Amino acid sequence: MKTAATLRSLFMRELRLVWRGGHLMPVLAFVFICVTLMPFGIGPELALLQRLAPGLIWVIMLMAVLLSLDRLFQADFEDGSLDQLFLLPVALEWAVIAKIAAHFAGIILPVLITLPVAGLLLNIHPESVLPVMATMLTGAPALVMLGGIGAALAVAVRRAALLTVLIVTPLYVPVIVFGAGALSTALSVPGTLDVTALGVLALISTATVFLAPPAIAAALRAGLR
Amino acid sequence: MEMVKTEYFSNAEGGRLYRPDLAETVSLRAENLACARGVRVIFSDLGFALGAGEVLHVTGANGAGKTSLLRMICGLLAPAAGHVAISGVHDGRDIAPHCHYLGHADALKPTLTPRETIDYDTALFAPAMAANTDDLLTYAGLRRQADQRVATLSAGQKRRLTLTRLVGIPRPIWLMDEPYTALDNAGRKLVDTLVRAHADAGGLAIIAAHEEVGVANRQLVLGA
Repeated sequence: MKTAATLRSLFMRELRLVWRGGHLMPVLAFVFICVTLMPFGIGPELALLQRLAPGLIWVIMLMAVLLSLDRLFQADFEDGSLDQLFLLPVALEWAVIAKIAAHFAGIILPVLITLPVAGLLLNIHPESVLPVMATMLTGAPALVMLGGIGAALAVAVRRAALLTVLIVTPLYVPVIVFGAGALSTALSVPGTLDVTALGVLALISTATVFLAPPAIAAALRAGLR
Repeated sequence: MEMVKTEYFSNAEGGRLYRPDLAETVSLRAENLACARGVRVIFSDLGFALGAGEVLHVTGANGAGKTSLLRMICGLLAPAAGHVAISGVHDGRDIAPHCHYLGHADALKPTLTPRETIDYDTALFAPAMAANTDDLLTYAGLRRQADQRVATLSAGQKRRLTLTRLVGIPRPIWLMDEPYTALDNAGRKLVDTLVRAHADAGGLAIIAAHEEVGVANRQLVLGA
C-alpha cells in the first residue's frame, strides 16, 4: 500500500523530469531523420524498400532505445539522486521498475506511435500501420529492459559505454529476429499479424520484465562507490 | 531600498519551528570497519558506538575516508571488513531507510521547482505523511523562489533546499557530508540549530567536516 504510493510518486516524478528535460525530442528527431534519409540511400525501388522495411524499422527502434537509455541512470548517479533511491523505504528493484516504466511511457511510447506512421515513407501499406505498432509494442519492453541492464552497467563500469553495448547487443538478437519475422508477415499481407512470432516476442518481453529489474538493481548496487 | 531580512527555518511567516517527530530512537555501533580503494587501505579497525542524542564530528585530511565512512553506515558502500549495526538491525540494506544521507552531490533536479522537490521528497520518503510544503519553504527561506526552477537557485539556496528533506521526513540517523559548504553564516547557524533539535529529540547525527562543529559532543579523527 505504502509501496504503491511511493512507486506512483516516483513514476510521476520521473515522467515530469523526462518531459521537462526535453529528452523526447532528440529521440523523435533521430527516428524521423533515419526514416526520411533511408529511401535516399537505398534508392527509389519500392519493392526493395518494402523488403528491407522490417529490419530497418527494428534497427531504428533499437538505436532509438539505446540513445534514450544513455542517461537513464547516469544523470541520477552524477547528481546524487541514485543514493537517495537506495534510501527510499522501498526495495531498489521496485524503484527501478517505476523509473523504467516512466521512461517507457515518456519516451518509448511516443516513438512506438510515430515510427510506424513515419514508416509510410518506407512504403508501408497504411493498413499495416496498426499491426506494425502492435508488433513493436510487444517487443519494445524487452529492448528497454535489456538496455536498462546496459545502462546500469555503464554506471558501474565508468567510461565503458562501448563495453556495455557489446554486452547488450547479443541479447537483442532474439528480439530482432522474431520482431523482424513478425513484421515481414504484417507488411507483406496488409492487416494481418504473425501470431507465432508475436507470441515469442511477448514471451521474451514478459521474461525480461521479471528478470531484468533484479539484474539492474544489482548492477546499480555494484556501481556505488 | 527596503532591506529584506531573511530568517531561515524560523517561524517568521507563521510556520511552526522544527520539532522533529521521531517515531523511533536508535543507537549505532560500528565494529572493526575497514575501507579499501583497490588495493589501498584507507582505514581499518575502526569502531565506535553512538547513543541516541549524540552528535559525532568526523574529521581528517582529504582522502582519509570521511565520505566513505558515512556511505558505509547507511549501506551505500560495502565495508571491506567489519560491520555496522543499529539497535537490532544488522544488514546495511535495512539500515538505509533509517538514515538521511546529505552528500556532496545535492540530489536536486534542476528542472523541478523547490515546491515540487519538497512535495515529491515527502511522497517518496514518507508516503503516509502529509506534506507541509509551505512551512518547509518558509523555513528554508525559499518562499519567494518556491515556483522557479531549482537551476536558478544559488548554491546556498540549493543547500537549504536539501536540508528541508532532513526536516520534513523524520529519520533517526543523519549523515551529513560537509553540510556547511556554500552556506552563509545564517545557513551555518541553521545547520547547527537543526542538528541540535534533532539530537534533543533523540536522533543521532554524524557530521563530516573540516571546520569546528559546535554542536558535536564526540569527535573522530580519521587517519590519526
